[in-house]
Amino acid sequence: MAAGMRNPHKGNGTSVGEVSLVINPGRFAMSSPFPIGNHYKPGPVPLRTDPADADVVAAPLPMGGGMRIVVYNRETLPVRVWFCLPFSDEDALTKDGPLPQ
Amino acid sequence: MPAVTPKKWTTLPRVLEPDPGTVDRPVERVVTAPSLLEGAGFPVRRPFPSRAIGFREADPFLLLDHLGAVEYAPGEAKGAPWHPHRGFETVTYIIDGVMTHHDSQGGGGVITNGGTQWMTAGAGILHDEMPPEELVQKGGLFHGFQLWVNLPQELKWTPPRYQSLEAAETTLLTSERADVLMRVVAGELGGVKGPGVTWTPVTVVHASLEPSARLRIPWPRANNAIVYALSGSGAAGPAGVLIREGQAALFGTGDALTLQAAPVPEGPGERMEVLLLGGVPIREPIASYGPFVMNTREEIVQAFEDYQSGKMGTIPAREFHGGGDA
Repeated sequence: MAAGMRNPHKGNGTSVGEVSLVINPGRFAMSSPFPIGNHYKPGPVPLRTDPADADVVAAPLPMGGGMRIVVYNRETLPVRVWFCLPFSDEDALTKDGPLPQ
Repeated sequence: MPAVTPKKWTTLPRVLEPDPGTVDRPVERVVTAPSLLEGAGFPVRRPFPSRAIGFREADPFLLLDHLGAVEYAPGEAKGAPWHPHRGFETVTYIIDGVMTHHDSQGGGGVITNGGTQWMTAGAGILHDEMPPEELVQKGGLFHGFQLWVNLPQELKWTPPRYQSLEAAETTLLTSERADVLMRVVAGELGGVKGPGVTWTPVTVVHASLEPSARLRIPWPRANNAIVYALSGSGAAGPAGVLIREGQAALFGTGDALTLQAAPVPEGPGERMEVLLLGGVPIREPIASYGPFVMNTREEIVQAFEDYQSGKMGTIPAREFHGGGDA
């Protein structure tokens, strides 16, 4: 997905296996780790946002504890995002994740 | 222990012990590396960064992962699938076993039994580090380490590059009594240089100590000093602080590094195996987020956006089997 690409999905609720994160302006947030195999290839992260046209960037990234979906909020207001973790129905953290200093 | 290990050490160049009046570096801290899973689930022990050895103490090093040792059963071997890096170097040294790698610039290779891959990620690259198919199918021993070396601000945007250092290229030295084998991957020891080309002064040595062997070598005062026990046990520093497999000792200031292997080293091998690390600290601000290590938060945001938009490179088409997992 290109930077800031809008999510094609519809709906407002969180479905089974879907992750919801609230991200403050200019901050990162990340999902809980999800398991990957040797043949894993990182790819686009389809997501939907509230506000619907929010400018966010999402990608899988190896972080502490394993591979996570990381989302950066380019907006000046908090944004809620929804996406599904690959290979996992695990619920995710909803914690805003500021950069460690 | 297939890492290059000649049968006869007495014929190797010797690193003479410093004068008795030379100041031995004291051990300031010992940290036991916590265990965790990386990549697709391979076990590592990570002595730093940690509470005891943080970025400040490890500088110019950022991270050390002790890979294994693990005896994989058939189908078990795991690697680190495609991921990005920017702003530093990864040094991967394989003691036992094999690792293959590919990168977004079309490069690739094999690291095996005493070989080293020194990758400057610099401005950014995607790569993978995987067990070869034969190791996955048949299983086998895997043991090594990966070290992250920081780059100063003016070099963080340098184009990515690889140094593939074969085991046979490793500089071999021995102690004054020829009871310690030192494999110099990079840097200088006793006036002799290792094959690795470094951007800043860095020394990386894999040493094997016979039971009760004593190592006392000159260590430049401008460098920091960390000893990590890969296996076995021994006494570090002039006070003889005990370190065991999976523990790192951070040394204070001085001009010599001292270590003595236990008469009967604990662990599976006959010898104490250690990693000796030293470098001149870079002393710049560090902003670190996963596989990106820059100087500012803004540069981290840029790194993430560049990775997400493909500016750091993309997975070569021949490597992509479709059905994106994320």
